[in-house]
Amino acid sequence: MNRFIVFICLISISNFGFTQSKYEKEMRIKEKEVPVNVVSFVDSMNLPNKIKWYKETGYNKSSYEAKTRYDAKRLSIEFSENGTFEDFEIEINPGDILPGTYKKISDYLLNVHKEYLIEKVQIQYSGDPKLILDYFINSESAKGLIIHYEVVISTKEESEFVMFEYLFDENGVFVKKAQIKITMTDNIEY
Amino acid sequence: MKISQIVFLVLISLSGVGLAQQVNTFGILPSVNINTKLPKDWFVNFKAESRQILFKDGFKYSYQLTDFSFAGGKKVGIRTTIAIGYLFGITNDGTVNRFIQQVSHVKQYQAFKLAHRLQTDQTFIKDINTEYRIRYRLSAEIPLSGQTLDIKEFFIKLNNEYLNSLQGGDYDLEIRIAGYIGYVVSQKNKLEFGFDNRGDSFINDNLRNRFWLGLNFYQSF
Repeated sequence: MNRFIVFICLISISNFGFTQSKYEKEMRIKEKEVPVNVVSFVDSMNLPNKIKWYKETGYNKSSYEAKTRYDAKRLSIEFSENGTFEDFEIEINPGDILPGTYKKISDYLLNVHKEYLIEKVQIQYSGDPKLILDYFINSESAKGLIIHYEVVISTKEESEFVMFEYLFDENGVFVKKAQIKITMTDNIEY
Repeated sequence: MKISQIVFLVLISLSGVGLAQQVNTFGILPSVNINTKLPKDWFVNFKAESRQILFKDGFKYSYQLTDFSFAGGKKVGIRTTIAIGYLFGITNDGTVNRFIQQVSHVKQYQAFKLAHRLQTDQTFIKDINTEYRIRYRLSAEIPLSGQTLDIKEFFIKLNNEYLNSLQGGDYDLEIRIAGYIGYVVSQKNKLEFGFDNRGDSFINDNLRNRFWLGLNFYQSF
């Protein structure tokens, strides 16, 4: 038994040494840890539900994120480390996308993947923060805002299941894609 | 809520589960689990688990068993896997052979992961009737900081499992409740420490309640 415990400890310790130095981490933080201008921007949106704050730390970039629910949908607002507004995203149903735009997105995805399943769609607004607030608070026109659709799909590639996050512009034109790394789940499966 | 408060609540509630009922056995249950990914979503899994009793009718150390299990399977959906396996156990009284079939489904929610596992197994022990079991386990993995579980982050794992057993015409139900504090060491491995409470024989006999202190190590390649 003693040998068994020593074996586990040795494996664990050895793995601390091989841990990658490049990683991203999302941490829940308190409002008082968030830059004042970020808090006042989010406050001015008069969001009705509780706001949860997060800080995402990457290898060479950090950002602040406010997450809440709005109209029973998930909403997140992202800011750079110095508090500059980057974008806000609302989770939507695929059917909420304009039919013509949705067709373009579907055609593109079908062209790349024979079969796919949409896991999540978000509409992303960026641009002038003042226009963003006018649009959100006063329901003014979205003119001047930069709109993207973030579409997460699951599909098969080379006989393996994979997930991708696609970004399309407001007309359904492909912008970029990134593969989503599926994290290890051994400890809840075995 | 602070992490320390959550940890405290989990430990208190789990110890309460054990203390509220009559604990017949208390021991340690360390395990090592190694999962290797193969091409085309196939995988193999190896698990070694040992049970050492520290308390049974008084404090006394005794070895109970060591299990070695091997399983092979395939991902059949983005969240679903199927696997078959074989377990070889070494007890003080002899050996145990078990064949295992399982399907598992893992769903990522906004702030936690939930896994359903349905397993059937057939256990063969010399001079004892074959035991057939069908078991269902629900597991939740909850990050303690942020909505996603990142490297060098602590998490809580909660398990609830129901094991239906049929042996020589006798039916029994075992219920397991477990709670672990885990740590993501790297993208490829996790450590867990916690309690595993197992109760059975309460349908036809007096409750047999076992309380294990678990230390689990998971490595994937």
